[in-house]
Amino acid sequence: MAGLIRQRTVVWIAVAVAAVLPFAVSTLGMDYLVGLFTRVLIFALAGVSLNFILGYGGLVSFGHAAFFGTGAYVVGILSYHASNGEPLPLLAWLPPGTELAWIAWPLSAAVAAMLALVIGAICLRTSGLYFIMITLAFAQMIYYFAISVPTYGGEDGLSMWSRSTMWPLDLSGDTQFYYVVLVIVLITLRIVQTVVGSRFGRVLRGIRDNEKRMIALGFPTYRYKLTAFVISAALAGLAGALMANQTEFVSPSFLDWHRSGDLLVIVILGGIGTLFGPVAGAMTYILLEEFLSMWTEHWMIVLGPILILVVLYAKGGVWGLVDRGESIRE
Amino acid sequence: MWTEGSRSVSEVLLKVENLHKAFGAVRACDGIDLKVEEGELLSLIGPNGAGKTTLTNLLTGELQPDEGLIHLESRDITRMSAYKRGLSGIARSYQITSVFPRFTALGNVTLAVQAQQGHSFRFYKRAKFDPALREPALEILDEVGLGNRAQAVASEMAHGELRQLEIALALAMRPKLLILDEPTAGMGHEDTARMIDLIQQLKGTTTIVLIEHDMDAVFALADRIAVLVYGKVLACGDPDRIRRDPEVRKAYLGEEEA
Repeated sequence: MAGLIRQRTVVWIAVAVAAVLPFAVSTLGMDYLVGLFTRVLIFALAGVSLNFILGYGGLVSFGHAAFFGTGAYVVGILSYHASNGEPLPLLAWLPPGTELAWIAWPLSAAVAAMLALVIGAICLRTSGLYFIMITLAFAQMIYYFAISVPTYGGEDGLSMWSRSTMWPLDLSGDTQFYYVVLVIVLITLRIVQTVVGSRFGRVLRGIRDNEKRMIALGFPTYRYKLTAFVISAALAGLAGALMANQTEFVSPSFLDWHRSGDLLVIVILGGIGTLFGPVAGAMTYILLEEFLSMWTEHWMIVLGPILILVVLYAKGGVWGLVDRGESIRE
Repeated sequence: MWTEGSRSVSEVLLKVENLHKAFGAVRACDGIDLKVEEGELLSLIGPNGAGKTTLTNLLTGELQPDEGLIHLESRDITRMSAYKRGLSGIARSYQITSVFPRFTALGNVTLAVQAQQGHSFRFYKRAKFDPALREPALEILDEVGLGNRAQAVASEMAHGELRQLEIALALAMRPKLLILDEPTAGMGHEDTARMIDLIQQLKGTTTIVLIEHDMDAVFALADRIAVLVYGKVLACGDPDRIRRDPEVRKAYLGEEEA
């Protein structure tokens, strides 16, 4: 019980700090930090999405960048067509693209989810190391596909004219955009918490602990894993859509396996299988990257050993400092 | 006790015909014929590597046979997938404890109860305090003697308790056929005695196939015994007959008595 109170206290303090952060940094005259913390939040969202299948489902997807990048490209491509009026390929009967967030962002999630339905249907026939490799292989296919399509910039990527418009809000300001992202992250955390505690979530955690036994108990595990995979991809796609808006640029690097690796690091560093772990992980990882790279361009030399130490000595990751095993009890 | 007379009128619950399964050159099951009648306790015995666990895996669908037929209540389930067999009423416990280590004892049994209550594509309501899951699970924990350990995390439970939890998971499936794969494996005297008591209680209400190395337990519990050697049924019959069977004594029991 004391553990839960401690966790709740930390979470509410974090939410309060996040809520006043733009004012605080602008008072200090460091407005550029708002963009940095928006990035932290977006990576937190992507981490939460990966953690949903990795931490709760035991599915080590090494291809999550495919869904993140797809989400980003959906926003980028729709914005590209909206600004030059060219009809969408194969969908010429539709309006040529859109810059409306209310349409483009849900579409990012939906397209990523559909892609995951196809990729997952195949990948989830395998397990363990094979699953890791085949998810990586699919992600790389999509990466090379993005590179080879010249319409959307190929290797150079695609610049957007502006951020999505989100009536009645104005996202062109960094502070507004930051708050929109913050609200999305908080809502997502709430949804994930609910789903993890539901019957579906229990099945997912049961599969993580012992899939063979779940089958013997009468659970068709494949369809539960596939559903979780699709949900996770939708959230990753949404994170990608936000990232495209943050940078106002999309490129194949969004789809790169390095990106999948970053997400795995964020989840493991933060605390695998905990609700807030990926948020703590994203915060630690992005801030370390930012400040170490100011100091030296070989920041990986410092980050690498930190990661090794965390994996070796802090089993629960960064969030494990706050959650000392309470969430292990299911 | 089952007599020859009463057995002839009872229903056959499980019928196995000419079941074959080979792993490379090793014929783990080499033409097994077996019948399990409603309500009886059939004990499967045999030396290590006789094919007992392979047979179990074929019955539960974790393995597919190379040849042969399996019928449950006159329904052919030979090609039925493992999860459907679980829902059709074939439950098993594992020789090597196979539970959900990060769940509490209650959480473990709750999962088995949940499987019985239709699909789990329910994303909203919190399952932890759902009485529809909790109450049946608590009842079963009581039944196997873990009532006071409901909140213990499985990964922190003692070996004997985990063996009880194994049985609880299988019982929560409301099985027609309960396959117990060496339920006393690795247990001390006291725990073994408790487990035998538990099986004695279940006997009569559930049809049981018991795989066991502890011969005292087998002869105390079994209505019939089937002896498996090299993937074949060497003999099958009531305990007295098996005890006297010269083939069985030579192949199996004799070694233990010597």
